[in-house]
Amino acid sequence: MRTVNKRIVFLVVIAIIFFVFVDILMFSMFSHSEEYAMNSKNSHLFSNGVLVNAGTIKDTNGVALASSKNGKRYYSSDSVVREAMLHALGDDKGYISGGVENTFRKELCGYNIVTGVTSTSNPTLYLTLDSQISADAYEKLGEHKGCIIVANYKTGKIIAMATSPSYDIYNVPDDIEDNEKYEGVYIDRIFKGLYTPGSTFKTVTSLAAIENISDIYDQTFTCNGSYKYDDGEIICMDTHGTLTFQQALNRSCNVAFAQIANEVGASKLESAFNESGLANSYETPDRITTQASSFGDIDKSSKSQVGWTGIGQYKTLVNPYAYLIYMCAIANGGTAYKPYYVDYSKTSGGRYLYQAQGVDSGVKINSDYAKQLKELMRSDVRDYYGDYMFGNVTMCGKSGTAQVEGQDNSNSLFVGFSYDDSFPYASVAVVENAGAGLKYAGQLTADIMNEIYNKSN
Amino acid sequence: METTKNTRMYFGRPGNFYGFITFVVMIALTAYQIIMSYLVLKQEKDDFAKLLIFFVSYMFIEWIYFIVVGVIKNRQISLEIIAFALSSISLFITASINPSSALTQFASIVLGLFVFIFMIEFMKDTTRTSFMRMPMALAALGLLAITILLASYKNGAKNWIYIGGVSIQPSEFAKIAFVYVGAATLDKLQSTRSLTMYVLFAVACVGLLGLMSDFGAALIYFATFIIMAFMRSGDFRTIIMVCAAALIGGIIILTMRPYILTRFKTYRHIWEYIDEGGFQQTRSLIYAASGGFFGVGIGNGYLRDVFAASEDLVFCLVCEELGMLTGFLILITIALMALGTAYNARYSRSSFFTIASCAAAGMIIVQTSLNVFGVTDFIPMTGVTLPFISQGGSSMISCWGLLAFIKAADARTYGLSLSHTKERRQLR
Repeated sequence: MRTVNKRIVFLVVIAIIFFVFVDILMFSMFSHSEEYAMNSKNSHLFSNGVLVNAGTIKDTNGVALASSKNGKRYYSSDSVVREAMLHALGDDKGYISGGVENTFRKELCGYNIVTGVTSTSNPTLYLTLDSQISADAYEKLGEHKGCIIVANYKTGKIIAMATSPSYDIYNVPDDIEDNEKYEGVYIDRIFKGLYTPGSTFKTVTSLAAIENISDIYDQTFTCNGSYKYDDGEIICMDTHGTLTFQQALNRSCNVAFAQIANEVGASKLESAFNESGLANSYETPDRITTQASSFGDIDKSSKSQVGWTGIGQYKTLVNPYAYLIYMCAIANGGTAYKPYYVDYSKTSGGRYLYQAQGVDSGVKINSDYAKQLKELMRSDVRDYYGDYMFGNVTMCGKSGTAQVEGQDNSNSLFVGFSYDDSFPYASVAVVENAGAGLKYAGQLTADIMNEIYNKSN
Repeated sequence: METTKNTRMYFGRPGNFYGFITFVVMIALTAYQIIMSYLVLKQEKDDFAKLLIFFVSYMFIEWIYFIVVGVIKNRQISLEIIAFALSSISLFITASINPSSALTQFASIVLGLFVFIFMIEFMKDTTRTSFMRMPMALAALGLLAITILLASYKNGAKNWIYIGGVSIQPSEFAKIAFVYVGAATLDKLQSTRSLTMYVLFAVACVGLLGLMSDFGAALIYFATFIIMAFMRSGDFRTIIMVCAAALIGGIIILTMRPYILTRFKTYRHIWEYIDEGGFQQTRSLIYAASGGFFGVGIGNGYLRDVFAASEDLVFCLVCEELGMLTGFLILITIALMALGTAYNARYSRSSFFTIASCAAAGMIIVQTSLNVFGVTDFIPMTGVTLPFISQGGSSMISCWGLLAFIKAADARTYGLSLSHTKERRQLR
């Protein structure tokens, strides 16, 4: 009997082992609970993989863009707003990889382990975007594909963005898969698009020139409409005659910039490209991985190739988001935050589930060079494009008309920012297959910048 | 027998709070059950009257038991209160998910309670207990053999037989006999012959379960056998050798029948087979997490729509609808019950009760582990029930039967005081 009693310890050991494993299970389940609950198979929150029970998404003015009621998801009642916000919010099939409803699922559902999915304190997620201005920008893109993005260069907050083509989530077009009009509709061009920069790239070549050519402001360049190298010819849009560096940028002289590019040299031009941050793929604060731009694989000994690269018309491809960072950095004295559009998420009880913080983009341009570049781009508008075009905004910028093979018209680009620190906005706009840079993208930028200006004053 | 003072656990002894505490626990339990009844009835309008009768009857039975056994007979009834509480969860879940099965579940609990009372009464007489071991062994083997002959395959295992429209799982009842036979054989006879006989009996049982493809049950029987063998021999080497032999045997079976392995191919890969082999486990985890600490409320869950939700997946169903705190509280209760068994087993009337109670508690722990860690993908899912909580009549009755062994090992059950047993032992 006594010996048997001693062996009872076996049961104690089993019970203790069981107890330990229960603790491990508890720890495992508690620490993974959010991940489990947020699975798209969870019918409490999803229906056929679509998030149906989640908090409200509001724009910077408190306008509701998406909300849930009785297991259904409702979007803005304005179809233009719905189309303009599609890429920012995400689609209901999960084709658009970015999109708050996907990337900010947790902050939108407000899951916490105590209340589970029953959370009566459905959170509200605020965007930095102004949905009305974005919708206006989207409308102005019209039938053209393209995109526009405007951000505060001091804080990184994106106030307006639109990408086209888009579609109405309530009325998905039947021909979305095969109509050419909707080609690339699931791609947010701002984050994932790549464009030939055209003359806007002269801002990069200028940066290289400022950095590497000490007497660049004293040099003059002669344009006879074209310039012949041994292995090719650079064509200019005009016969500009003799120009200073600043005038060459103002008038976007290809001949002058091809010479400047060759004077700098391909390697240093590429260094400036890297320094501008254009080469990077960014992890945005909104959890989107952007498409990395590429300088292009060129023959660095070929003067015509270097020349064409220097005027943004060779193999270089740039991403609008990265371009915006570069613009912000120039405007902001050489450094910039990564632009973002999710501001914060808060439960009805006032608990913050997410709060955006400025994340440094890593771009670091010498502040003196940035300042020079800022003045140069200011002179583009002041001395050449005309301040009247931009209304109340003291604009700095550079237009680009990028020829793309197989397109009837050029892509129209405009990159720029407000000179005035009290209205700190930078922008990048691309209107595809439209024509001259200033006429389309420039005008679009001017309109949106003024709308923002008027709304903020 | 000196039953007057020491065993007066409840109202007889001034300054003894056991009685008062038990009364308070009963009130709390009833309050909980009233709330649960209300929440279930609110959603089950069609079966309102029927379910109301079951719920009220259930609480009535609890109070009758408390008054008769606890107050009048002055016995400690904490073990039964735990079993009542756990069983009621199964009743509420069954009523909420399959109202048509609520009667079966209710009847099974009542039947289980009678089995419990009967077994305790039966084991009062140790001579009778010892004498009955052979018939019990035959009963266990008979039950399993009948299953092989009559059962049809259901969910990959051949362990159900149908009698007069009622489906029963004989391997569940055989568990009681298995523990009984093991404890009775090892208690009395130390000869090699009896030990050999018992080993053969255990091998036969496990083998029959293997033939039914009920590997979960086979594993439970095997683990229980190990516990009993250790209790008797105290020899770790033997235990390790038996385990090694079983392991080798298992490997041989798997090499000969590799298709068995396909069952386990999703183990640790459930998220890759989220809509195939990992369907039940992934949904279980997703919905358990959805419940949070306090649950989404009974009837508001989604796991209930998944196959075997109230049986194999019931732990996660409880987590989803009643909350993870309730889920883990159940597991902790079961662990504490085993520790309590170990504590009381020291003062049992004979080593039969010590071995039987430890084997029964061990069996419950092993079965709980297979169920809970299986559904959460810690181990391969074997499809066993969660003791007392899963829907299923046979399983419920068997659990109450096993509980009788635990109860019988507590000397106070038979009106003896713990100190009395101690004294008696010292006299030996």
